[in-house]
Amino acid sequence: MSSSGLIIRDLSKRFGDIRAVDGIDLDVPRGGLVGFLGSNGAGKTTTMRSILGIVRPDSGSITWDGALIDDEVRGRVGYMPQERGLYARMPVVDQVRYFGRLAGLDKGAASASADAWIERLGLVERRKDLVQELSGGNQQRVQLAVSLVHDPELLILDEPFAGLDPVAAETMQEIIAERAATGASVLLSSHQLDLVEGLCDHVVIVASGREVASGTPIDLRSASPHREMYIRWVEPIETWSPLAGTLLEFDGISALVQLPAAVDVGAQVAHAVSAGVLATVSVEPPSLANVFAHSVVSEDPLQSAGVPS
Amino acid sequence: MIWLIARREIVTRARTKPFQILTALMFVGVIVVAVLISVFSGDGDGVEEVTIGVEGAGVDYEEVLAVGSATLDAEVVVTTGDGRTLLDDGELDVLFDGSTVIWEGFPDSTLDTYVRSTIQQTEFARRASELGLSDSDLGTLFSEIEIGEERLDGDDDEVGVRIAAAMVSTIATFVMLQVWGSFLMMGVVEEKASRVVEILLSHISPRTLLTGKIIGLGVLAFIQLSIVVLGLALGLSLVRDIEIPDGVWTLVPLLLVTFLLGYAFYAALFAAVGSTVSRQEDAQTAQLPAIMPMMVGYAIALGSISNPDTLLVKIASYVPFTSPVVLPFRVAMSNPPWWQVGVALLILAISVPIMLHVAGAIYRTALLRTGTRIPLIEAFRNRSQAQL
Repeated sequence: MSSSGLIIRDLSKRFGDIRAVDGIDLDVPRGGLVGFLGSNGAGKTTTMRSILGIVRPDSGSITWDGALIDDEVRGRVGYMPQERGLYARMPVVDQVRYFGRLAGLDKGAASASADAWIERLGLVERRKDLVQELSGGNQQRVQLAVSLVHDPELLILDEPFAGLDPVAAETMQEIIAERAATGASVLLSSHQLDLVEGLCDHVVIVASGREVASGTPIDLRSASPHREMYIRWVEPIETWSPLAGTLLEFDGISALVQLPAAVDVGAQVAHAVSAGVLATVSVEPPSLANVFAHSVVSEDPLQSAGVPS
Repeated sequence: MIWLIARREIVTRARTKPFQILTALMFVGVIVVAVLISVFSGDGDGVEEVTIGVEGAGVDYEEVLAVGSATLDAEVVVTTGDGRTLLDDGELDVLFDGSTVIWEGFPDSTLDTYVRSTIQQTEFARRASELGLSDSDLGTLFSEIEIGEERLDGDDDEVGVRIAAAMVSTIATFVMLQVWGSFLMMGVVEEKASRVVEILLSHISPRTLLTGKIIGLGVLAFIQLSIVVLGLALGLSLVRDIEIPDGVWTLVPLLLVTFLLGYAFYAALFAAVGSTVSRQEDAQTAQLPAIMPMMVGYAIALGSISNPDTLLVKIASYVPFTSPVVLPFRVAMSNPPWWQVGVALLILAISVPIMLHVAGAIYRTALLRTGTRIPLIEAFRNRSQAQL
């Protein structure tokens, strides 16, 4: 593993008796887009705050390009906290400029960048409005502009999709992907696993402050001991039972079956064909959502039998 | 960075209604007060017009009484037996019948003095000429005898001016400290309640943030103070004869110094208190620990107006929690030796960094802890857990 980008080793932080983070390792290479998954209270926010220097970890190291992260580097980090925070009574454009200046941009650069992001995020007509006058979705856009105004090398996004409508979530995904494509490292947490699956090239799942699984979304899904087979016939059939595995759903014309990973898929499909003409068939690893639910419950996705939702 | 934060504080706070209204009220207020003082302190150029009745045979005072004085424009009416009726009807202000000064009701002291002294002087002159004294003898006799005045409790003039100066200083300092402390606290609570503090702290340290806020509001408070002083000067220039004793003007620089030090001291305390609450609704009750000591100083000062030289006042003028309010009061009332003022200011000046340190520790510890209010002591004790 190269030493460029963000590397976290053995990070721990206690709050009183609670081990919020308990020995987490995390790598976000330059240009990498890493999804950070876990239930509420799993330690994601504390880890992110540690990177930003808002929380002082008890032990462990956080390095950027091989050197311990310091305030100078933190000036090049963009942060979108889970609890959104803006000055309610400050105009949009002033707010974005202000955070640009706080991040170290000079006056001209902060203004130019603020204007560019305001235009990009479709806020031009609202630029003089106070933040409290904006809709929730537009406030989120301002929040994103605030985290991007200084063109950060590292983006820490805590639940960036929370509260966004599908169109805004789409825009958010585009911008995140574009930032990564231009070389920024992105660490994002989200409960919207379908979005994470499509966006991130690496996923880390944590529970109770510890890592329980990590890998590419495909690897994580493939590592599951199960496959999901979906069948749809052209004509309704009366009853049907699968050759192997468990029938999860059957409604007279389609069926969802959980299969062991190492099963002969051809034989399963042949069995379905014998019941009637097929319209659709697919056999896939379980979704990331399934893998996640499973990991968090068992804390070890590779050893226990999955219970798909 | 500090200046960036300070500037935002100045710009946003200056745009708010409470600041603008308060400043305008204070500006107009001091002008009105200055004008009122001059009106009530009397002697301006107000000339009273009076009508004096003179009655009785052989009474020939009408000429001398008609001369009038600087404050009296007198008209004399010679009455013939109907003087009392005219007085009763309000046609006359006073009636003199050759031996008695007669009033309709309560005597007017200025007019009474005028009538009596005029008649006495006329009588003296008449008796003098009977005794064969010349006018120059008379001049010698009545030339003014200068008698000096000395007071063992000080070398100074009017107590009234001292009391007024002491009250204005004490009330102004108290109000300004409380208002600006509250402004600062509201800003801290706003940042914490809106969670914007998390983004701020991802860029800057809590120390920088707190320093910037204190400086920003301090500058604005000073601007407000200047506007008020300007209003006072304007008010005093509008009214002509009002004499401000020299001792009172020396209070102005002292007030500026105590206000600035007191502001820094109390601003840090208000910030610490503000950082322990997560909602604006909790702020009112939470600010009690910051307001209480200030109130105590205020009560000590105003309660000691009739007896300003007590041990309590002396102690309170040294203790940094009360000295910003009590020291100007003590200086205005009893002019303590300069070294005592110096020691009190030094103690306050030394207390400022200590308070900044303690309050800063509480601020750093409590800033990211949301939920219920955190006791100040607990926040200070847990300062090792502070972030950064």
